[in-house]
Amino acid sequence: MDGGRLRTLGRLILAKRLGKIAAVLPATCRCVNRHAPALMQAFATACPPSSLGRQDNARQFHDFILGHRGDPPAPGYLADLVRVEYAAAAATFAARDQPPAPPPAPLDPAWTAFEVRAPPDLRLLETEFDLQRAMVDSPPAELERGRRRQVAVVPGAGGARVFWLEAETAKLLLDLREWIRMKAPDQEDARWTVESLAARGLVELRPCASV
Amino acid sequence: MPLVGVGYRHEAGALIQRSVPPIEAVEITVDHCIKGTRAQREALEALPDLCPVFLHGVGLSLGTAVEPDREYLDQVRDHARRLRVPWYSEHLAFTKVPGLDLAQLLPLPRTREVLEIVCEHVEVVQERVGLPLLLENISYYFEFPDHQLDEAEFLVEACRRTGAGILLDVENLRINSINFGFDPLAFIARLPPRSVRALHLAGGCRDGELAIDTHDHPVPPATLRLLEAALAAHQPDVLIVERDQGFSTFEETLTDVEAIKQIRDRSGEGAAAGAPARAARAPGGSRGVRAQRASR
Repeated sequence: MDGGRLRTLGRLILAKRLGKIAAVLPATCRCVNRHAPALMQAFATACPPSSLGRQDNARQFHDFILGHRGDPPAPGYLADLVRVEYAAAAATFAARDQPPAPPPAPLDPAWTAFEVRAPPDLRLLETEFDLQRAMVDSPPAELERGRRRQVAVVPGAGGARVFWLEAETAKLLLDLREWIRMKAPDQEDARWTVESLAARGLVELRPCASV
Repeated sequence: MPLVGVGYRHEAGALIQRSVPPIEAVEITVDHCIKGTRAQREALEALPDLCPVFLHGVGLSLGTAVEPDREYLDQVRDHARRLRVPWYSEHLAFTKVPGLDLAQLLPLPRTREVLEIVCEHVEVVQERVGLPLLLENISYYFEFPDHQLDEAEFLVEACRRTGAGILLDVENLRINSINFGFDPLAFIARLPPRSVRALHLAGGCRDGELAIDTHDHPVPPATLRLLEAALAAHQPDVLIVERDQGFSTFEETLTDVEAIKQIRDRSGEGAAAGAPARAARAPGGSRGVRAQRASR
């Protein structure tokens, strides 16, 4: 067999596979291509493809990066970046196969009480990096660790949405895993907070069931 | 006369739908139906109302020495029924072994043992899907040593033994003839008359001296000459332009469609003028009606 042609074929197969992964994890791939290109070949060697699907190959790459132990070296923020990006991609894939969800119910002024919860498919992730700085055409070689921030990933029509949350908002969402009954807020800023969270899909609202 | 169409790609879906006519037919990749989103499947299922549809697969891996995936075949059958297609085509190749899927069409070791395996699988597929299967020749960049049969012999024998038809990819034939130094016209001449039910045409590129099947360029003149040779000996149902990338230049694809139509029309005139009248193919139910509609 012609070794040169086999290598060419291997290169073509790998390029096609990486193209699929980049379609799902574009920011992660830009970071790796720019700052840790050896990681791509290490991935190809360690994780031969088990499926032709984009999501499956992206998941393999995500798992590989999370299990990576520093050789070859990679930016310190890469694991958090791929975690957030894959969560958004997975939420997008899941939403595309469902019927379109109705728009979020607003807070009805007629309600004296209502029930609220965080959507069951909401994912909350943590990071110490300002990952928004990495989701650009030219990601930095490193990011400084800062205060811990929470990231919410919400499936939605047309693609998942990612929100960078303040700590108290994240804590609130963690407390709202089950439906909780609340009195309708009197104060405008409290009402505005509930409506704002509902409009972004971070909480679901429903009237209290009649007795 | 054969219909002239394109391979459907979601990225160019709106462009393709707006271009019927001059596009006369569409070939759908069944794996896009199986793996696609709801919206993508709905778009595909609306296509039979627009023009005749033909079904092609990439995920079967006929040459893998395990039983064909029956769940996959059931999905193919279901989509074939919904799309009202006359046959189903796949590649004379393998792409995977248990636990490893390269998603790349790879050549088969052309031995009698592998021929047996392929023939068994073709029979399973035709039985399970309930439609004739067409076998497509692939482009390849290496060959296994110790072949017992050459490529034409392998393809012809597999079809003879199973009743499968041939989907002749003339661009793959051109690429292989460059990379392995054989006469593509001689290959075409070895295919039994009227065994070719469909053709694929595409345009690739070069990597050094190697010709590569990339589906991202217009169909080259040499491939169109092979089309002429194929049409002189065969009466395919459809001629499909495969373009997978570069849809901002969809005009190139439409130019390819027009060029192929001109060759088809010239070939049809030549056949009418010089050849004895051939018995008309029995129309395949609604496919015959759709073919008539497309020719208006």
